[in-house]
Amino acid sequence: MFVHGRGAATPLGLDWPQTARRLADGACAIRPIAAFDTTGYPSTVAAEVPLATPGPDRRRALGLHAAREAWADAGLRVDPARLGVFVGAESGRAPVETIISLVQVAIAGQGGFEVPAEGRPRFPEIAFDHAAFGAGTRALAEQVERATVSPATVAAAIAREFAAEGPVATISIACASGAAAIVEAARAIRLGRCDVAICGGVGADVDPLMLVGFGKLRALSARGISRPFDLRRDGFVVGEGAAMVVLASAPGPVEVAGIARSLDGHHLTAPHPDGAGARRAMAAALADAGDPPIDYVQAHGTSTPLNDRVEAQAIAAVVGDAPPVASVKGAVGHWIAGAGAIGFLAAVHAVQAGILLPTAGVTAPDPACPIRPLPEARVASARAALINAFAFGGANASLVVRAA
Amino acid sequence: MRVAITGVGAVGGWGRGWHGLSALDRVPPAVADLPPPLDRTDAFARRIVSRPAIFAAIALSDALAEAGWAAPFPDVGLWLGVGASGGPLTQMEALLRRALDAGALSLPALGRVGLRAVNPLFAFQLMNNFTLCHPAILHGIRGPNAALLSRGAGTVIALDEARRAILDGECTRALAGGADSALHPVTAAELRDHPAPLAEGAAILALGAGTPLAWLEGCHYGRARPAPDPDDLDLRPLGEALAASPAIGCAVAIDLFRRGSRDRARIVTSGLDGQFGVVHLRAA
Repeated sequence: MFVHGRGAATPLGLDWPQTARRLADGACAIRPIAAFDTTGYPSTVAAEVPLATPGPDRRRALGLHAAREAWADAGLRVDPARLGVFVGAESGRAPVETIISLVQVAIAGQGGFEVPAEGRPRFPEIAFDHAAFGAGTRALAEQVERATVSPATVAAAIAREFAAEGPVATISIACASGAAAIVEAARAIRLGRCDVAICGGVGADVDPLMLVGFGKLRALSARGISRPFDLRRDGFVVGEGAAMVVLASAPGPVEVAGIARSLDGHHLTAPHPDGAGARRAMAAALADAGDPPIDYVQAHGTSTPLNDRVEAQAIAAVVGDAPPVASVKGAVGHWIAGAGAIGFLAAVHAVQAGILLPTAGVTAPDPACPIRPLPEARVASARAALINAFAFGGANASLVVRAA
Repeated sequence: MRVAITGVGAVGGWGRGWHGLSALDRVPPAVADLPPPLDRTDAFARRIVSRPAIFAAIALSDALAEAGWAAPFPDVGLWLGVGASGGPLTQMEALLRRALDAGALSLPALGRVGLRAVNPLFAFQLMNNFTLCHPAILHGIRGPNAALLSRGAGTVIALDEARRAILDGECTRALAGGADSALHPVTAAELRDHPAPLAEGAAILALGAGTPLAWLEGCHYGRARPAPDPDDLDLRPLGEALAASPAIGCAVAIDLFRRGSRDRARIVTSGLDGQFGVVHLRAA
């Protein structure tokens, strides 16, 4: 399986070349959140894509944007029946505006509230009436459909736009979704289910509900700084974006040489203390690739204290401490379902362009992380690169790319 | 190339189990009394884990038992079709109540005090992967995996992935199926004109080792609608349980095999997001 096209919509740029240049420059896109008033939130910063998207489904718009670039970059022609689409996307919630409207139904018999053209909706004192809610949701159906609560609409929209008639799948395993979607696409090509696949991931979680949820988990950086593998890291910063690639069985400059997935089967929120699941995913991906020498690791690297330490120890155990290790999350935040896909693009860049993209924010590497974090971009020819993506709940995906 | 189905677990409005499922012509839409998935985390799980995740845990536990597989499961694969119903409205309600500030919905209030009203794993109830990860954690399942979402056809892909993984030697045993609930108010609104009653549940098949109950012969999926067959049974009276429905359809077919009234079956599903899927089963 070979990489033929790349596309991205990121907080650092609306295409992959611009994003790669700014990542190489050490830019960081984390800023105060502009999308809504964050006073009092557990985190008030994020990395937002500077792109106004139409309608309520930002995920779909970002995913399509990246897919168009990747498809144009690939320049392939394919029988529609042999074109597949695999997208990592998460979270079935409706947008917060829709949730508010749904609650409006529940209190409709009690005076309701109005959503003014500008400003905040006004609530009376309410008693939540579940029966009214159940009965009233039918009237909101059109609005719910407009809001498109399903993350599967991203893959469906890409399939429609590119007339893909082959396998179309949405992979939802939280933070590993994007990488797992590329794994699934590579498997589909390997198994002969399709010849070409548009694949990647998208996250659009700069959202009040997700900020509250991640805040409740105490997973967000209180300082508002993402610095994976740094001694002072204290949590992740939410980001958003989409990264897509076009894979094909026809030879190209970069090969997807190894793919693997594993489960920790250990704990709802914490990784296995020895990183056992991560080790198995990395080792299996390397074995699948024929154990090539790894010259660059694009880590999951969330900037949370425990996860980074466990991942670093797992990397050191599996590939040693020689290769430089980076995480794009220092620059563009944590895209959740899209995270593994932007990491994949960075690894492909190392192999194809010979530029090892760095980890922004690392100035004091944590000695408990026995790896070599890469604080600045380096021009070096990477023969092969390893990509990790690990999810809450213990689902892991690893890939190996190498020069063809 | 076919793969043996050696265990089935199913839970839905009819209760827990799959024997006799093919004789039902309609079922209550909801699982009224959730049986415990496992002992050690029952109370915790009920409080913080989504209903589809609990359904998956129950069905997976029963599939393992029927297949006679004993722990540990370091190399067992797990592929599930999952849904997108979102967080429970009780949590949303609690959060939004706290977000009222002098009668107005206040996003700052939502951020400042709303998070005190929701359970610690609220974020995960908004996401879908815990439908896969929760039963994996309960049973220590650690093999290759994916949670596939297309609210119907994704479950067919999950079954196909499991079958392929066994045939390719990626794993020797796998669990595959689907778990979902269409009874979330947001989903109910979206499906207002759906021809079947809305339902919830899970069904999971144990594949690859043990005494065969049936054979998984193949799966097909894509954007082309399969042609109808005169012998097709209409399973819509059992309800639309989204990602769970194709897997429940497999359980119905295996029950038909058990009763001797069929020896081949195809389960046809139409995903809400434009995908169709077909599963081919044969009696053992």
